[in-house]
This record gives sequence, C-alpha cells and structure tokens, in this order.
Amino acid sequence: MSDLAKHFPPILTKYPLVKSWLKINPDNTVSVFPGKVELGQGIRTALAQIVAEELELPLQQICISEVTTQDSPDEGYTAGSASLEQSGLALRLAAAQLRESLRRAAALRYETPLELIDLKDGKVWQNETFLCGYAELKDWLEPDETISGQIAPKSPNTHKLIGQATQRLDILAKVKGEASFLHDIRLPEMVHGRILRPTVYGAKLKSLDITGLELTGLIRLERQGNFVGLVCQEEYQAVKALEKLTQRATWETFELPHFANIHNHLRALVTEDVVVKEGNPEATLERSEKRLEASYTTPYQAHTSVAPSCAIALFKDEHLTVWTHSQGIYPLRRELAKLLNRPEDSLTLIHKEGPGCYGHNGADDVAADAALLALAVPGKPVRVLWSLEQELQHEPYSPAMMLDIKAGLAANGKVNVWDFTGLTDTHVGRPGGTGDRLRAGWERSGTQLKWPGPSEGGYRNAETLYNLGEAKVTTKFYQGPLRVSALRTLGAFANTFANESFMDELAYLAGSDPVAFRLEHLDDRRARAVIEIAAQKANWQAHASPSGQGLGIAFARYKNVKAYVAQIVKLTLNSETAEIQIEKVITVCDAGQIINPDGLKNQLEGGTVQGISRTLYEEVHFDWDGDGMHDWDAYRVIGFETIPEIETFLIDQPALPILGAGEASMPPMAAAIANALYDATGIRMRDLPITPERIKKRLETLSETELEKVIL
Amino acid sequence: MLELHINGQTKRVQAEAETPFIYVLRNELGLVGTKQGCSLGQCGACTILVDGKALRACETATETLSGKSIVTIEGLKETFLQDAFIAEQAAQCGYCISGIIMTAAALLRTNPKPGKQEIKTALKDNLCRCGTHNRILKAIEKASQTHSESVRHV
Repeated sequence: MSDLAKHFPPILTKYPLVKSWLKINPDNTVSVFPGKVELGQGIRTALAQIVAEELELPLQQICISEVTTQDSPDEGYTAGSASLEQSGLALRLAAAQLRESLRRAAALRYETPLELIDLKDGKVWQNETFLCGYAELKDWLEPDETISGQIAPKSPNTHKLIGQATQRLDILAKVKGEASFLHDIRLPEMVHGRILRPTVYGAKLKSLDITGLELTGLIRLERQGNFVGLVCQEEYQAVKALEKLTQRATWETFELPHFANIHNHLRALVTEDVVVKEGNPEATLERSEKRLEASYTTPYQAHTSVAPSCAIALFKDEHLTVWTHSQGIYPLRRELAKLLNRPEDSLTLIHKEGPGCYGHNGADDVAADAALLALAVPGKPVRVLWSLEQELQHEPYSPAMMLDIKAGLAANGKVNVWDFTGLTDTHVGRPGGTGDRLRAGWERSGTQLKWPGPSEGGYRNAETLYNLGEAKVTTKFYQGPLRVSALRTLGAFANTFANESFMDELAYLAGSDPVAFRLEHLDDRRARAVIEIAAQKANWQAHASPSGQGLGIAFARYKNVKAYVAQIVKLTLNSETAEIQIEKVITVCDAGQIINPDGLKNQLEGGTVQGISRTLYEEVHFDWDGDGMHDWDAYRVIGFETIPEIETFLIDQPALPILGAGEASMPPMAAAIANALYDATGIRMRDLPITPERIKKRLETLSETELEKVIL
Repeated sequence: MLELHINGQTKRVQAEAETPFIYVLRNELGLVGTKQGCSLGQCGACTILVDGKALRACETATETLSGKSIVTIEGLKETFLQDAFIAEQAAQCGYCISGIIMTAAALLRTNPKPGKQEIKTALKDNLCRCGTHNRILKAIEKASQTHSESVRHV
C-alpha cells in the first residue's frame, strides 16, 4: 500500500464510488465533482491538475463542475486549509482508480495483456499503437466501481502537471469582465430585494410606520417579526425604497461596552476554561534563573470582502433554489431547511463565486434573506444584495483576544517553563442545521443567537512546536457582546502573535539572537529548515539586542500539523509620524508536495498582505450606542500605497503528503512585524493594531530601563 | 429616454436620469464586467472610462454621461493590460480586477510609462482584499513597458 493510500480520506467512506467524483463525457473530457468551492484560492485549478495528472489527460480536457446539492459530494465547509489535503487526495485516489479501470477495460475490449495498455495524452495505446479515446470504453467500465484506495497514485517522478506553475482556470473570464460572480447573474424575471436593518450595531426594530408610504416599483413588503424585507421590480427602486423605509423605522439601541477599554471588559465575561496542555509551571517558575511575563491583545476584526454579500433565491413548484457564495452549501441547506421548516430535499443550493470572503461573512445570512423573500414572491427569482454598511455591521467578526504568557529561563539560557493563558470568544458560529445561526432567523423569532460555546479555533496554535520545558496552555472562553465567527486562521493569528513575540522577548532576556534562540528550542527538521532559509535569504546578522536594522522573524506551523512558514520583515519607523513602513517581507514555506507552485505563492502572498493589514490597521470599533462602522473610512485596510516588496520561497517535497497552506502565511505576520519594530527602535508593541497613536502612547508609558533601549 | 455612447455604440436607456450608472450598466445594458463594490465611491470596483478618464459608475448619475464617450472593461482597447494580468496571474478572487484594469488604462493614457510609485498612487483608491497587490503592480508595470516598446518599434 502506498503512503497516500494509507491516509485514506474519510470522505471516501461516505462517497466510495468513482462516479460520485468523476465522469467521462462523450467528447473525451472528464467532469470532476468536487465538494470544495472556489473562494479565490485557486482550488479548482489545483484539483484539475491532480485529476489530469492521474488520468493522463491534457488539462484542457478537465471540466470542474459547479458545486451544488444536486450533483456534488457533501464535503462540508471549504475552510481550514483542508481542501487539497482532503478533497485533493480523494480525487487523486478516484482518478487513479479510474485510470486503472480504463486500462482493464481496454485490455478486455482489445483482448490484450493489461501490461501492454498505456494511457497517454487522453488516449488509450497498446505499445505505441493508438486504440481509442476514453469515452469509447464507457460500456466496458464497471458503472459502480468503488475507490479502493489500493491503486497507487502516480509516482512523483513521473509527474508532468503536478508541481508545475499552472495558469488559473478562471483568470481569463475575470480579466475580461465576464459574469464570473454570483453578483453578475441575471435570471429571467429576476426582481430585487433589500432588507431593513439598523444602521448602528445590534439595535432592535421598535416601530415601523408605513402609513401613506409610497414605494415605486414595490412588489412586496414582507414583515415577519422584526425581519423586514422588500422586493421591487428594479434594483435601484429597491435601493430607494429601502432608504425611505429606513426613515420610517425607530430602533431600540443596544448598549455596548466602551471600546477604549474593551479587553478589560471582556476579561470579566469568562465562562469556560479549556486546558489545551496540562502542566505545573508554578514550581519551576520559582526556580527559574530569569522570569518574564507579558500580555498581548488583538481587537475584534472583520472579513470586509471587497463587495457586500449577495444571494438569489427562487421558489417554484414547492421547491426552493438558492444561489449562494457560502463556504458550505450542504451545512447551509440544513440550516435553511430547519429555519424555514421545509424538508431538506425541497431545497437546492448552487454555489457561485463571490468576492473573497476569508471566512464566515455575510454570505450565509443573505441567503436566508433571499430565501424568505423568495417564499413571499413565488415564481420570481429574488436577488438580495447587502449594502456595505450592512456587511460591515452584520457580518460575524473575529473575536478580540487577550494572551497572557509567563515563562522562565534556566541557567543555560533555555526556556524551562512556559505558562500560556489565552482569552477568547468562540471562533465558530457557522450555520449547520440548528436553524438559529442566521440573522433573519433571530430577527423573525425575536430570539437571540445562542452562544456556540468553546471550540478548537480559540486555541489554534496556542501550543507551539518549541521545547519549552514545563509548559501549560490554557484557553479561557468569554461570551462577548458581539456576534463572532471564523476569520482566516481563527485564533491562530492572535495566539501566534503572542507566542512569537514572547519568544523574541525571551531571546533578548537570554542574551540570545532571535533566530538562534528559536533553533535552540526546535527539534522538527522542517521547522528548522524554513527558519534557517529565511534567515539566510534575509542576510540575517546575529544580534542579542535591538540592531537598528529593523529585521524581525516569526515562525509557525499552521495548526501545528499543516504548512510550515517562517517570515522575516524589514521595516522602518518614521520618527516624526510614528508610521511603520514595511519595506520587505520574506516568506519561506514548506507545504509538502506542491500541486501548483504559482497558486501556492499567490495564496502565501495574499495571507502575508492580509496579515500586514490586520497587524497595522484593522480594528472593529463602536461607540457605546453601536455607531461607527458605516463605510471603508471606518475600517481601514491596507492599500496599494503601502504595499511592501514580498519575496516568497517554496520548499517542494514531492514525495511527502500535501500540507494545507491557504492560511499558513498569516499567523506569523503580526509577530514578525512587532519583532522588527523592536529591532528597529527598541519599542515592544503588544497590542494590535500597531497604529502610530499606539506607538506614541507606548513611548509615553515606557519605564526608564525600557527607554534606555529605545533607538529613534 | 437617454442616449449613451458606450464601447463605440449608441445605446438608448430607459432608466431615470438620476439613477447611478452602475445599475444601468449591469441591469439594463447587461454589461456586468463593471463590478459593484461599496456603492459609495470608495473601493474602485466599478471604475469605467468616461472621455478617457477613470470614473466611478456607482456615484455617477446616468444623465451626466449623455454625449460622452464611455468605455467599460468589455470595450477596453488596451487588451495588452489584460494579457499582462494573465501573464502575472494577478488575481485571486478577481472581484477588484476589472476596476483596477480600468484605472490602469486611464493612467497609461496620460502616463504611458509610469514608475512603480506612480502606479501605486494611481491605485490608492482601488481596494484589493485578497492581497494580490504586488502581482497587480507588476502586471501594470510590465504591460506599460512592453506596450510602450512595441509602440516605439512601430
């Protein structure tokens, strides 16, 4: 049995037949039915490469089907950097099975010994003699062939497509401005819906007086409890109608804590502790030669797709069809079925691409909005588009986090004890079948979203790969005032910011160089390799106190089981304005076997840029009455003017399993920046985002010993 | 009824005069290449060319375009820009790309060989949330170089 077959993907137990995944078409193309959806990460291209490789087909002969609840396997959510590891392996085994079935079928049909049959360029050959195309063997194939996992995929040294930089399948349509997105779909007789929602966070509808209100083009004003939506013939009529309707509504304000002091407020709301790693740090801490403790914080942050969420729904002949850019059409179908009290099989969900979502944004909510309005206007497709303000206020955020770490150094300068306590709200509030996870649902029933409780996302990467002696890791969960869910990397971003900043602080305390100090605490050879290569690429000079060069390093292996990433940042601080200018980021990644190196680089670069944005700019902020998040001025993100140079290096491991990498470059980013800032200036920043105001404030509060180290 | 000159053709549209042009483009004319983003003139996704200059379709009343020459991504002559975006694989989700290509086209019309900083400045009001910025900058830089060279050779 091959190594790959040993990792038999569980999804193949649920969908064991080749035909669930692959279908040979009469024109010799092969249709592929993945359950994972395109989010801009390039998954369709990588999956096409895998199937084409195993089936000896030119890439052009692969058709990746759209993901629907009619035709596609239920692979849950497309999330967690899992698609290539799981769906990719499932398709690889399915394609290997089909390849061998085709060879057997040809041997049977042409009464030829199996070993003489070859597949090449999408054709069947006996020695060098052409026999037939794949489609001609259809009647000779077992229709219900099972994927055994016993057929070894092709050996990496025979790969022609895997490992090659491959052009994205979707790019031509996107640069030409074709209808690539759900937002672009125009169905016959389509009408336009908009939803009445408060313009401040969390407010509840108190009154809505529609006496004498005239709305041009109105087809339906639908009110169910506090869910209010309207449907108009034309889109701009719906926009104007919503403006008028909003003027007739009054709201009950939801009082929020003071955001200037949000973390202290959240600390008081802790309800559950999860011990991630047991340990007894206290006694060792007492005995340690040197001790250090620090607290780090990260703010609430938002997904802020480049465009608001959209959905189309059509209710016809007792069947509801929903076009959605959700990350999981099957979980969303279960949720909608429960919410609408309709059987699951009376709903069809069709995935269409949306603007990049980076996690659980408004996509699922707007699907429920469209579904409710479609049920009210049977026979017509209803398209609902949120406004930017609605997206910014009503999407679930990534929770604010607090990370407190204590550690000690032994006489040899190595860490002998480590005590990590994280505080976070949950990171998963995704819909999945409970019927209470979508905004329209609780507006309609007047209920509150039930707190989903602790889950792994909160302590993702809370543990590290370092040998830290007596280590204890605890994550405490608070029930915060804001709706929260999954944002790219979940808790790993904040946990790694704290862990990797603190490793730097400890290195300096030990009088060690930050790179050398990390290597002293690491056994994992692949982890060491990415750090060593990054240091070499950055021409890292060992230093045991701020060097003034503005170089900072950080490392993480995403989820501690996925891709390895080390990053080095070079930056300067403008001493007048206290603005950070990042000049360069070096990223080194080992993601196991690489399918599409250019696609992988694109993802790593994207995560790096988003990581910079979250470190320097992004922060959800409200006044006490929920005012504050109305447009892009209220939520700053990185723009073209401050984009640094990014160099990305890949370590290919063709003989090793694929390691998910879609999120891997984001977690180390924040600490790499904070560490580089310290190296440049001697100023240690422990709160995100690292804004000029925070840096100035920090300078004012530095102790005398800390001030002595400042170089400005 | 308004008469518009768009992508070299004359079109008559029914929409009321003050309707933001984005709705006319995407719903009445079926030109969905111009993407709708923030609808507040902040993100640049809906950038079009009007008399050669970059304009936001979401904050432009349709009546103000009467008698002007409108170009959308579907009618863009500078296809070398699109070729460069493909060559650099300068897209992830790709939602911002059409508006960015139009902004770049407007830039190159007044400044055929811009430096990297000039490109960055021209794109300061175009948002990309996937972090494809460097590929986009490289694509525009390369497009301007190869194009200005090919023009010189002719």
